[in-house]
Amino acid sequence: MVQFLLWYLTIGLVGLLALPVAYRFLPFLSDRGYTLARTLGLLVWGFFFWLLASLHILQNDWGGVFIALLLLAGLSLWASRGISGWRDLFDWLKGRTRLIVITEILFLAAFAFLAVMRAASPDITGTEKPMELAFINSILRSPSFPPADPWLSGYAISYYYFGYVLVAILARFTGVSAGYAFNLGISLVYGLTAIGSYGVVYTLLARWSRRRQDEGKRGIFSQGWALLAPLIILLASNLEGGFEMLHAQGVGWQQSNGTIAQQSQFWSWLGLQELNQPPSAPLSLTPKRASGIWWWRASRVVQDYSMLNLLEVAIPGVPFSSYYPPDSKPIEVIDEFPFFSFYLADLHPHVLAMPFGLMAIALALNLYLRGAYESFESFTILAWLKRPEFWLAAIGLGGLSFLNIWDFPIYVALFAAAFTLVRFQQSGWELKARLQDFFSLGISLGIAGILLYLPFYIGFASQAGGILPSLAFFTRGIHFWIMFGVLLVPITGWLIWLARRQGDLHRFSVGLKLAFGVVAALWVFSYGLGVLGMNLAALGSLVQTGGNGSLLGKVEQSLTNWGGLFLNLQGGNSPTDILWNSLSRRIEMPGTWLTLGFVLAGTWALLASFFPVRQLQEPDEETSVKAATAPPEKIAISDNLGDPHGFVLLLVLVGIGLTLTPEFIYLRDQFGGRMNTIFKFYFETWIVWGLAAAFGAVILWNELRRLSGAGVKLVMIVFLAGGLVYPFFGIIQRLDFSKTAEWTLDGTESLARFDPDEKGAMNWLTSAPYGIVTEAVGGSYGPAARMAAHAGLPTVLGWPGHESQWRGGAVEMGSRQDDISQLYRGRDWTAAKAIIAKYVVRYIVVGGLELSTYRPDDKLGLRGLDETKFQKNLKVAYQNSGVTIYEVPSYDLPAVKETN
Amino acid sequence: MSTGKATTEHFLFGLAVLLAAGIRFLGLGNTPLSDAEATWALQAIDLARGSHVLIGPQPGYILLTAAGFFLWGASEFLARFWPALAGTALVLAPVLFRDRIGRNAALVLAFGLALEPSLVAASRQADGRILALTGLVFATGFWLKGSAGWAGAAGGFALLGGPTVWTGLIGAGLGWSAARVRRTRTATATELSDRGFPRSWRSLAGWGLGSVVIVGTLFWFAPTGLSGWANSLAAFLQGWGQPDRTALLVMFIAWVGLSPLFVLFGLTGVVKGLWRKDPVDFSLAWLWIILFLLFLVYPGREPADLAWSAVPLLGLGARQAVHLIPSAQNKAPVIGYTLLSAALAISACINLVGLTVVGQPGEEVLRWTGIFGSVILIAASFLLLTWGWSLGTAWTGARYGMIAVLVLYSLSTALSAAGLGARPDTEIWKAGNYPKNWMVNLKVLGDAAEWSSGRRDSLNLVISEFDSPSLRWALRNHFEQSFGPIVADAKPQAVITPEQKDAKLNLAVPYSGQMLVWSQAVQWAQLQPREWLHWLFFRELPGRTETVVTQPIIFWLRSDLFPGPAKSSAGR
Repeated sequence: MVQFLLWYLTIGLVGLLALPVAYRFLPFLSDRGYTLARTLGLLVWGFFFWLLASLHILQNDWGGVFIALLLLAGLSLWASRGISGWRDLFDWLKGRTRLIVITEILFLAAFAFLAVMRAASPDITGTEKPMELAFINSILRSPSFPPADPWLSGYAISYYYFGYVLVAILARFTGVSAGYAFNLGISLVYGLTAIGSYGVVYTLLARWSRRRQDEGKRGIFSQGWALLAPLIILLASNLEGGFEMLHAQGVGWQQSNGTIAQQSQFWSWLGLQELNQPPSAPLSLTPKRASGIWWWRASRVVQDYSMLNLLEVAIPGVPFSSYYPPDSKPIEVIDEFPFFSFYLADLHPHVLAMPFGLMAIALALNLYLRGAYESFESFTILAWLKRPEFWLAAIGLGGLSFLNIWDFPIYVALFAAAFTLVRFQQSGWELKARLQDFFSLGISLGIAGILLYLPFYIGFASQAGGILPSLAFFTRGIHFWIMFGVLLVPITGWLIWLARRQGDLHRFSVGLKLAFGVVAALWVFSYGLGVLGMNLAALGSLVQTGGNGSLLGKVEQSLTNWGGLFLNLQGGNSPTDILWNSLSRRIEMPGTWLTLGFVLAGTWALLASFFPVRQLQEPDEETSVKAATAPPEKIAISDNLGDPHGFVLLLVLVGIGLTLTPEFIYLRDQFGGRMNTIFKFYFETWIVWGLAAAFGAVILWNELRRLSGAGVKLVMIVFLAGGLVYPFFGIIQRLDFSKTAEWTLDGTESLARFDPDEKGAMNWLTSAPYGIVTEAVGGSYGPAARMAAHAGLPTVLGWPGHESQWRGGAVEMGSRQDDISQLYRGRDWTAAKAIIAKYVVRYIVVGGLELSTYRPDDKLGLRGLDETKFQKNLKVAYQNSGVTIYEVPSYDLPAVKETN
Repeated sequence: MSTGKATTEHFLFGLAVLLAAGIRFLGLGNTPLSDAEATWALQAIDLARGSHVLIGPQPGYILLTAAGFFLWGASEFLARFWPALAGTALVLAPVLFRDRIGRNAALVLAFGLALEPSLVAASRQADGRILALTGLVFATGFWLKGSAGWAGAAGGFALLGGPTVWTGLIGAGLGWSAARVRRTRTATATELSDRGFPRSWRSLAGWGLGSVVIVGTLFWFAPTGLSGWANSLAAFLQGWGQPDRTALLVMFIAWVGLSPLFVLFGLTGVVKGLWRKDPVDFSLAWLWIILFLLFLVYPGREPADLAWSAVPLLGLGARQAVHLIPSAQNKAPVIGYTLLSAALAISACINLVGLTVVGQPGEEVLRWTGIFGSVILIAASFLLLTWGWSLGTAWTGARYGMIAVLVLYSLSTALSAAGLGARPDTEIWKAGNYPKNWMVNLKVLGDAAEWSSGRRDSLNLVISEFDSPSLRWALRNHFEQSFGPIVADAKPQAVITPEQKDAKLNLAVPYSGQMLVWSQAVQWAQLQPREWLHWLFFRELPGRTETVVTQPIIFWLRSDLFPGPAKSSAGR
């Protein structure tokens, strides 16, 4: 509780410090950036600290963190000079009591809600939590920046780790241990996301409400309605939960004499893994599994199948869809949505970046709304470089790259698109000029964002290896609707309502043409790439070799390898099979691309029809002055400029881009398939569409009347209710109020109870002098490298699979895994000493995990762990009944290497 | 002082500075660094050597000392040089307050600052406490004089002085607020009028920031010093969560027992200041009360922190002391009685101290007789003087006599606080572990090195299972050393381990060991009243183990390195 309060107060302080900055630079948002102040403050604080620590100007300690906070305060003072004095800010705050009270209650409620959820299940074990804990601890303990890779001694972290820096600085500042910081960190992100989404939708609704009033209609209670945004983004889930409930109740399963049939046509067709198996008795509405973990499946709704799997079970003359996919082995695709991520509570980059992504959306919205009061000239870099807003955007958007690298291009594109849209509204449509607007701002902002975070890019390696065409992999329409139905219903309804209101439906044909063009272009591009990829081997054979060692020989070998790899990934026997079979499958199951094609057509048509070219009224001097300070909704220049619907259409468009693109191409990584591309793109789609859905739902609710309106409202309610089934059962399962006495936010507390020996050793290492530790190397998601993770000391090698992902290969790992095995198993002290010296090992851990990992293996002819050499030659630095830690004398070690 | 001509005032201030410098610099490098001091000095060494070091919460001291080490090499003298210099400079601070406290009082204050034991002790400790204090006093003085820029520069310097500066700042802030509240209430008070006060906060902040950045990074040589500065706030805050570092009784004795003269005058000033509500006295009194209370309630307090509250107390005392400047009337009887009463008081004190070392039977009775005899003689001579001359003459003589005794005592305690007494290792100002017999210990190691290699500074030494900053400091230039565990097949020339039961080294070759005491820590709270009295005059501590905790170590030398034929494996 104390730790929670400390974090709550600290983030409140950070918000207060950043408020003048937000107030000055986000003047066109109806909340003047109040709801974003905490997020902005945390980002700027973290940026100052990380950058100055990386430049070795600040120390990685409390003092460094505090000075970075002082710099934020200094920035705040500087920003306050640009507003009409503090009085202006205070007066504004006084006039927004309702907004402030709701924001504060929402933040506290969301922060506390997830903290309670975590307190009921606080352990930092399983999935990738140990990795995330390791990053936090390593950042806290690294003598200098860049922080050491906790699982590859001698190297710096090669991952987008800014989110962990932010959690670590809060932990450092409040004096809270990493075990608490982990759970408080994710709870804080939940709270920040709640108010961030609330703020964006509040601005959109306040603008719309104002326009209604201008039209003589009644305004709406924007502050209240905007709460729908956090509800939809953070609580509502995909519809898999609803299907879980139906499945658990036995709906769609034939029963006779109390026996449930082994197969169900409906559930087989639906193709959700586990749900295609009969439910267990007794039937009830409550989802269940033998393991208790029913909630995992919702994050694996979308499934891919390689062509090979399908071809093996293909029945000549029978369409794929009729037997898809019972007998083929699916390839895992991750389709997390926010509530699942918070429920699972992995402190992963895509989660950590959420409030900052919303901040980026708010920055874009601010820019878009500015267009109503300011004439945007075509982009010139020098003019933009002089604007503090540009640098604020560069810090915010550049930070996204460091937080979750996938978000960077997405939100830079949104920002540039907002600028382009305003230019379109102000100057009309001219393809070349608008493309120039889009790319010039986008590229400039991208470069500025990269330059500001340059130390991160130095030494950063990635597993990403270009793009691949997605021939065999695509999302089935039903899965797409299960995933996004909750959002698509209000969005589609709102698009239709908007189209009817506009009454300019002839432009729909324009949109339709464009949608067709985009889908066709993607198709052609994808298949073109596919044809090229499949023929790489043939191309290679055309290259005449000059021997294996020659350049041409290498080219041939590479082309042949790539071609083989591509064919293997797609799962085809021959290029022709893949091309035709994938084409026919896509045509047979067109749900997703048709849905997206129609939404794209509607969105584009509305963008075109809703904003006919108008001449901007030149603002007079008085208006310009007011625009910087006064509530902007009072001084709009043009009716259509700054209309919130335009920005929401942009959000929808971004979501379409994110979901349509992986239907045709995906990023190549070590997993081969679309797993990560879908994961990251769908997650962001949930955010941008969630905002659009919340906005659209409010519009529909307030605008639609009569029977048809009631029908639409009912459908929305049904879908939203379907989306709330998952959190309902999830929360019930998680919160066991009979065990409140055991609730804690310390994610390492259970370890102390269930394995005190291990915990004791970790505690000792936590306070021991800095040095490299050796312990059992093992597979991902398990207990290997647990000492490094908990103590923040680098180990020689942790999870090799993850290291390979982070660095795009195993070169850096070298022979470490074998060396550590040799160190533990070998009997020869001289050989062991050489390994110790090679990796500058200071601590050697021998515990139960080492004994089991390095047990004798007769098949492989491996000896078991031999501790005698350590006992004879090294001093025991720490020992309990289960774990012994040996310390290597410093005079036997070369100087500890700096991370590189 | 503004005329540019040398005056008596100049001379007297110069004398005070000389006195302060003498008592601060004399034998400055003769005593070893304690663990607390060595912690900071070692960081300065690392910095001077260009090593990566996390700068602790005393950046001002560490960076300035590092510069000295870089230029002239590390030594005890240089480790304490900057504090001694700052402590000496503090004596000049009253010049800035002359307009407010009076010229004579400023002079008296200068001598008080030169001799006050806690200030002397703080000036000879290798840390940033006195830098912070001096900086803050100068900052206040410059601010009151209207020099915001200089005030900022001095304030910035003070901020780099370590965790105690925050106590000083809080105390000064609260004291200033109290004076401000009073000024608001008595709007007619004009003595401390705001007219002429600088209000250029921007200048203050700018110069302060500049000072922090320039000194706190040593001209950007070590930018991480800024983090060290901020860490001082963390260290200060952490101090609130610690158990009491120094017992209140110990603080009280350090305060009253070692500087009774200053306490006597100061407290008189406090009472008068609060009673009469003279604006200057009132402000100083509040400042002292707040600072004193802060240190009483602050768990991380150390005796040397009394230096903070000593400054306003000395200011108050100085304003009282100027009233005692002798008048021309009845000089002879006053001088005579002064000498007589002082002699009798000293006699009483000697007998009082003698009670703590009673050896012969019946001696105690004689001692008590001596005490009472002296008191009775003082009283009788007082009555005679009153009868023969006047009550005023007698009273003046008695006061001068007592003051003379207290001045002598204060001189003695100041010298002791400076570590110039016979037993510097038993001074109350040294917190924590303090090396004992360090010269002897280093000689033993040097001898061993000479036997081994023919050179006194060449010895392959491993210090195992024992670590101490003061030991690291002492060994810094002498030997090839490493701290940490030792492997079984290692054959270093020498090993240092803590003393253990059945001590033996399980190494491949035989070693012979000799026990040494490296350091001691006095448990002041364990002393009995009679032991306190004895310590006050002799600086001797009882031999009880609970009052002095020693750190014995064993110095092992490889047996084959002893002169002559190889010895047996004693000590294995």
